[in-house]
Amino acid sequence: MSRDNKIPITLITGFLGAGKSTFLSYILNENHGKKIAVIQNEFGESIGVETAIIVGDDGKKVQEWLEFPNGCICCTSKDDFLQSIEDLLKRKDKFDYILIESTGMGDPGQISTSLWVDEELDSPVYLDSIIAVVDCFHFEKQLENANQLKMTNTIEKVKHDTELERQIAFADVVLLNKIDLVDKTYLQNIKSKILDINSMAEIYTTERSKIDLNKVLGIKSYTPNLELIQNYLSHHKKQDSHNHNEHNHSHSNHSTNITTLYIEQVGDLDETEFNRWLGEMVYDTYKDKIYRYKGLLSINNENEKFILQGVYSTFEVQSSHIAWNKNEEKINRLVFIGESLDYNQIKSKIFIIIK
Amino acid sequence: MSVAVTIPVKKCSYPACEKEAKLQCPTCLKLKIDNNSHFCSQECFKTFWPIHKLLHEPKATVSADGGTINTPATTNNLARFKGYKFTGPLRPEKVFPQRTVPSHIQKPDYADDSIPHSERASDRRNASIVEHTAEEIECIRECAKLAREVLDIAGDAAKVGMTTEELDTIVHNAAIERNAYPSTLNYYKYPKSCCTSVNEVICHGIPDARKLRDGDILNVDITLYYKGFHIDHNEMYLIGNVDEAGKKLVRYAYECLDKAIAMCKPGVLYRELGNVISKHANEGGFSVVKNFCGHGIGRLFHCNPSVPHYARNKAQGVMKPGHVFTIEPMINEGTWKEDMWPDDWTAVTLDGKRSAQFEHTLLITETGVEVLTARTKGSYLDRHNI
Repeated sequence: MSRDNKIPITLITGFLGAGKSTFLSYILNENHGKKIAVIQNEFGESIGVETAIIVGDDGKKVQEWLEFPNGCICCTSKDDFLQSIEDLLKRKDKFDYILIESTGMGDPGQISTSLWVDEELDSPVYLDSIIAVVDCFHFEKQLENANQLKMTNTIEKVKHDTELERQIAFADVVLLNKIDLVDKTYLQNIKSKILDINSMAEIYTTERSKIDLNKVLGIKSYTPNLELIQNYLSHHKKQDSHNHNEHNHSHSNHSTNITTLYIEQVGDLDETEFNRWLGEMVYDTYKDKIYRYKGLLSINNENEKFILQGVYSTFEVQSSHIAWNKNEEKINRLVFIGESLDYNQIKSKIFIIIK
Repeated sequence: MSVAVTIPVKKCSYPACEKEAKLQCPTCLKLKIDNNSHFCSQECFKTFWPIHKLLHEPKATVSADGGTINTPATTNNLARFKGYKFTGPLRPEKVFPQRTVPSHIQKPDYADDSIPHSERASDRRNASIVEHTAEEIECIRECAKLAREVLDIAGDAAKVGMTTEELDTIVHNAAIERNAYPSTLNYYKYPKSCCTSVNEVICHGIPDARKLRDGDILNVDITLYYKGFHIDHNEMYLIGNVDEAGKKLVRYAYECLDKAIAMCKPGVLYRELGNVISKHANEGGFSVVKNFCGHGIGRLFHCNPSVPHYARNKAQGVMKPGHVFTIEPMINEGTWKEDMWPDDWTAVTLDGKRSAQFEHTLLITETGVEVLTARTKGSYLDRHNI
């Protein structure tokens, strides 16, 4: 099945009251003529059944349950959650779009690894992007609370309270909502705090969650999309040179240890060697600590630019199908968002691999 | 003239709720349970779930020697196939009642109630891959030796005219004689002590009354549980005179496993194996099954890592000394896609063409790999003249 026929999935995260529901109802009520399924995800609750609300192009709503495979999934390739969505597609007519609303304190990274299915498996769906809806008005307070609590509380509690940071860290798009309630300076401050956590995110400001849907849906954040990644990388580079001296390539935020780390080096990589280096990092050294990573790579004996995409321990290096220009300098660029990343440690190893 | 008809409205099955039911439990729908399966909302369903889910469980009975007999799964197994459109010529036959295991044999945690509790409790997708200690590896090697013996006994026995049920009896008894538990028995209600996959069956074929025919290609998949550890492996057997195309398929399946094993050593990523397997299978004109993977094994029957056999997968994990896992490529003559028989186990090729598979359990050592289930009686290809 070609990607054009596949159904995109967008995951929407956000705190209670951030405007997630307003955003959803805005999408559903816009006159787009699409049949959309909204799945309310309550990860962490063991019932094994989730609800899907299907909204037809006529605006009619139907409620359905997603069934989780109850039997042996011991040696199957597909994740339960993905399988249950595919089963829903078999029971119902075709959808044009699937939105997943993460209602609980579900980890957006876990959900996205579940849905980021191998191309080879020929799934009828694909993960398009993650959108975080943020309440501008309460943002500072929520972030502050998280950081105060971090000092004193148990791990479980910390995970809960740093949820806002994690939502931002995993987001491809951040919707800054309720801007009508704050002033310009405050808004600028929030934007820079968000970029400190995730400099790859595309930030949009909205009132009542209203936005041009073309900007946020169907944006293919998980595919080897050169245009998209170049935006991120050049955006980051600009940030980097403006805000920091050249010896400090990592954005460190005083109030959080989630940072963006940027590496750039001219040369070629051996794909297997690079994958093993990266694998060692994301499976072991920094297991669950590297949230999201992207890169533009020059692979040995390949004329085309390669693109790295990663979430937690899941990553992919694929050709962008766009060749390097004749006189273009082959600069490898890597961006990692994660917690407590040691820039020097990571840099020293990657610099050996790039030749 | 029209007449008003009162359609009986279903009430929510949550006892405290009187509302009209609009949704039906998907599991009940599948199991064709109508009574007490309707709910008004997700909330009521969720609240009542701990009690409601008991409706889905078949009733188990305990036999005289302490073993469990799981009644509904095996009785009248053919009724479920009514209306099913088969993808190939193979048909299911009668499945005989589940065998019992004497009480002196150490059993895995699912032996009685069919649910592998420890496996469920472990976070399959995110748990670290176990690095086994030297003591554990000794137990694992003992178990592997027994598993090898049992598979060889089954392979030597498989002949034209013998039923797969008879093969299962042989495997079951051989395991019991060695004080080992046949791991598949009652694992998620699987009714038998091994899997027998004939021709278009990709994997998980249930032994039944069907007699092996001249020209069949048969896979026997055996897992044993001994001293707290599982070992899993399988092989193909040529029944009578198999055509050249069938032999070629079997040979390629064998070579795919062989080439994947040759890559294994510390530092290699599990995701790399699929590239090698796919390349070789494709060179022979065959496809690689994608929906079933190799897996970590040890104290649990199935655990991390997942080992896909197809190219360009994103599987997690890097090989380290002490890792124990299976590689078990399934190679098809036609499409890689499968269909599931209504018995919920037997995976068959979607086009009904044949499928072949080999499996070993492997241990990563300091310098390379040890094939725990390696053959002791000569090379497979020589022995079978392929």
